[in-house]
Amino acid sequence: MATRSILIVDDMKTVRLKLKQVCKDVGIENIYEAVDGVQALQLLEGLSVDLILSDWNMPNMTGIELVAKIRENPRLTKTPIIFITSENEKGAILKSLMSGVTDYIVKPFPDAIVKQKICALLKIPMKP
Amino acid sequence: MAAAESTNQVLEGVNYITLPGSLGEDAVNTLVAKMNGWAELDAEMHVMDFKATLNFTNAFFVAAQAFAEKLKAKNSKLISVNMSEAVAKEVKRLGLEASFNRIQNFPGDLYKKKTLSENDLRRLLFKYLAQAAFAAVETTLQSTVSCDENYSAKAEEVPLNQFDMISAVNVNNDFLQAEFRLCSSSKVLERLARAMLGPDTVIDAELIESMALELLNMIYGHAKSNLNDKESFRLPSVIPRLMRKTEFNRIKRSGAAQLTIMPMVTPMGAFYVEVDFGTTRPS
Repeated sequence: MATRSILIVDDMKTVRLKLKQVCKDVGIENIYEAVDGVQALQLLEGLSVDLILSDWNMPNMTGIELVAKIRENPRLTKTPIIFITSENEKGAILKSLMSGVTDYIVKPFPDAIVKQKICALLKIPMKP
Repeated sequence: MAAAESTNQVLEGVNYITLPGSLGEDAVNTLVAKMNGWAELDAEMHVMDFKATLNFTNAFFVAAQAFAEKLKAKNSKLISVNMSEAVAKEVKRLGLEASFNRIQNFPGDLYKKKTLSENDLRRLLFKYLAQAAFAAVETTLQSTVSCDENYSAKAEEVPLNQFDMISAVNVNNDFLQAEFRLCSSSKVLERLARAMLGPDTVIDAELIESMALELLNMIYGHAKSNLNDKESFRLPSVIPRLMRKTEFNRIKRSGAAQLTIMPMVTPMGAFYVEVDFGTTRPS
């Protein structure tokens, strides 16, 4: 099985660490972190990832702005992006769908949901 | 290049439909078959995105109206986004504005405005804050929290100097002016962080501060989303900020009539969520 890589974008260290644990649990070996959209874009200039997990409300660049920038890049148009955010209003869901987000997880999140969605997108068998 | 067929994506109760570039007879027939399937989805809202649509036939409007009627019977909503003026004019000519529900000002047009009394506003706010705290503690920390939405501690019983950290969110729009604060000791935050991240994680100062911020983010965010969606509130998205002990003198707590302090008691210790309605500027 090819080595998978994921980029986690969140300004909160607790969330980045939690998501990192979840990613390791499903067997992801290469996990990159960014504290905001600006850092994420800098990392993506030199990096190829299989999946991006991003928060919405972050300083310097919102998750929506980040998704728009990612989708403008021909190299990244098809990279799956999951929003992991406390934003749960219908308007927010719609906005993220219009911006090109692949999937959505609402905070607070059970680990099982995150694992399920990562495994489904990356076609990784779920561990029992 | 616009797609030849309509596509849809369902996320969190929203069925997002991208219409194809051309809506001729064949495309409409395909769309009708899909609409019959979409009408059975468990979605509160169906959105038609017209951004790729260049031309259309009358048959499309008939099909969309029928789709809207099916959704109405299921208490589900159909809205239209990125509708060109040409399409909007045709919708108006056919008298179908109520079926298409064109949204131009986003997301404002999505929500119906409602006038709330001060009492109702506060009652609902505390109710949903309590629910949000339950969700945050149960889901993220796999623990329990005891919180009574009808009980407010007295400020003199909960002096700020007993805390080490206060995260805050300041709301100042035409709907509400208030400051939301989450007050806690480092010890309790450390225990909460350990519950979230596991016993083997080294909990450093950055993680403790992050816990204070993220906990308020989850509680405010969860309450905000539900209040805006279900009770027609208009609370904004705000990123929490952190105040350490040396900055507490900037906080000017309002009197009892304008301040509600909700104790949140967990097996790992208590933290407090207070809502100060007397604040219009950040502490």
